[in-house]
Amino acid sequence: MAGLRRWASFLLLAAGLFLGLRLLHVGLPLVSPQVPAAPRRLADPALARRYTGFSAWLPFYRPAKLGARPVEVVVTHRPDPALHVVWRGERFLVLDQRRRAPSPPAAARPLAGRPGAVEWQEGAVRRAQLRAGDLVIDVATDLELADLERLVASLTPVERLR
Amino acid sequence: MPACWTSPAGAYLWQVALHSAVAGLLLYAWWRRLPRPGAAVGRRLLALLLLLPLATALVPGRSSFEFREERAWFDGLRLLALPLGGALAVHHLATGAAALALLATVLQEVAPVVRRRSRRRLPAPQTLVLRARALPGWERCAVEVSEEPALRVVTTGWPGRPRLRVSHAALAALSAPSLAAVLRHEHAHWVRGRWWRDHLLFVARLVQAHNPVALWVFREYLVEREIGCDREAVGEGDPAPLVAALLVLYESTDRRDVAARAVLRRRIDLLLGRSRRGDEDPPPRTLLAVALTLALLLPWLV
Repeated sequence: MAGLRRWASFLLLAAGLFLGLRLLHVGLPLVSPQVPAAPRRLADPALARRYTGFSAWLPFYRPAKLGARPVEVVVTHRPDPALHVVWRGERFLVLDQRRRAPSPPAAARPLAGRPGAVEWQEGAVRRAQLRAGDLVIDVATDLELADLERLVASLTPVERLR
Repeated sequence: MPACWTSPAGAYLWQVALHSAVAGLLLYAWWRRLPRPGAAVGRRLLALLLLLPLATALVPGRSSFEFREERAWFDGLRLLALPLGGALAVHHLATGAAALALLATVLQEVAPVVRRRSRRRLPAPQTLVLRARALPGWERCAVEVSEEPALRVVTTGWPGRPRLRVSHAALAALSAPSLAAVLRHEHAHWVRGRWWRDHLLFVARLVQAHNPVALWVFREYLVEREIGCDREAVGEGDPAPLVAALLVLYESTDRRDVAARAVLRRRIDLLLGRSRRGDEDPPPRTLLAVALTLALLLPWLV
């Protein structure tokens, strides 16, 4: 009986400590935006800097077919901070921005309008990749090539768009 | 946050330290609440603390992003990423602590072995050889005298082939009864499976060279082990010869080495009965229940 009581006292201590750890787990991302947590949806790409440490780059040129506003702005933290912005109207556009990304395939061709940018086709999806400051931006869309060129050429940090 | 923290090796080492810290905190708080804990429970809890985190951090399927975010009870990476001001974050502190622990491991565990090996050895007096080989199981014990200025009596080697090394200074400073008591103490390290237990824990300690908790736990374990061997060396007999040997060692220890002197004082006080230990160890099944509880809980911390 004494043994059981001692085990119960251990369980009580464990419950207290684990509760404290859980509070830390939930509370730390609220206290500090740089603490990685589950993917975080943002209302505005301009808020991304607070969570990722870098400014979102958005296209100044956006065909009306993409819709008025992005439908999804998500920040993830693993393995590195990354921003994922999606427009979806009649056509779609996905921008992935992060500091490290896989290299484009060997078949990628230079994209007119922005030095260093490349584009390639994957089925119905047209893809592009470019460097912007210390970021790598991956673009995926079903827009025409001419639209993609203009869109990539107009990519600008969000602060300068306002 | 550097990618090494999420690599398989980095995540394992971090989780070993995290599990060790959490289990250490829990077991220490629990031990403090026990009415009159004896020596055995302390040694068992310390051994558990050294071994269990190595296993719980190995439980597979916990390194994925999904596990960390959706199932884990506590994700340590959240704590490590907490900024401390400027470019500093908690993971920089953790790296510093791990580097210090690694340095301490080299200085405490590896360097003494290398130093001992490099000392010149002299032939041992026949009386010492005969006295050592008269102890049960030590019939094939190799006896050496090392030429070193410090008082030292240590055993090395393997079960069945132990090696006793006595420093020249110890031979000169210890009386015959004290030397015999010291030999009985060293012999106690080789009985009741202590050699195997100690070496297993030493390996566990080396694997956790980066873990500051393991550093503390192993030191505490060694103190408990010495106290246990003192008790066995004295048995029901007179503790005075062993106390005299410990006093000589105490006097020859550098005054700045406060920790070593404190341990020697504690051993002397226990031998003389000036301080007493409890004798109400929880039954083994309670310790088993505690160990199982930890084994079930810790893998949820990543």
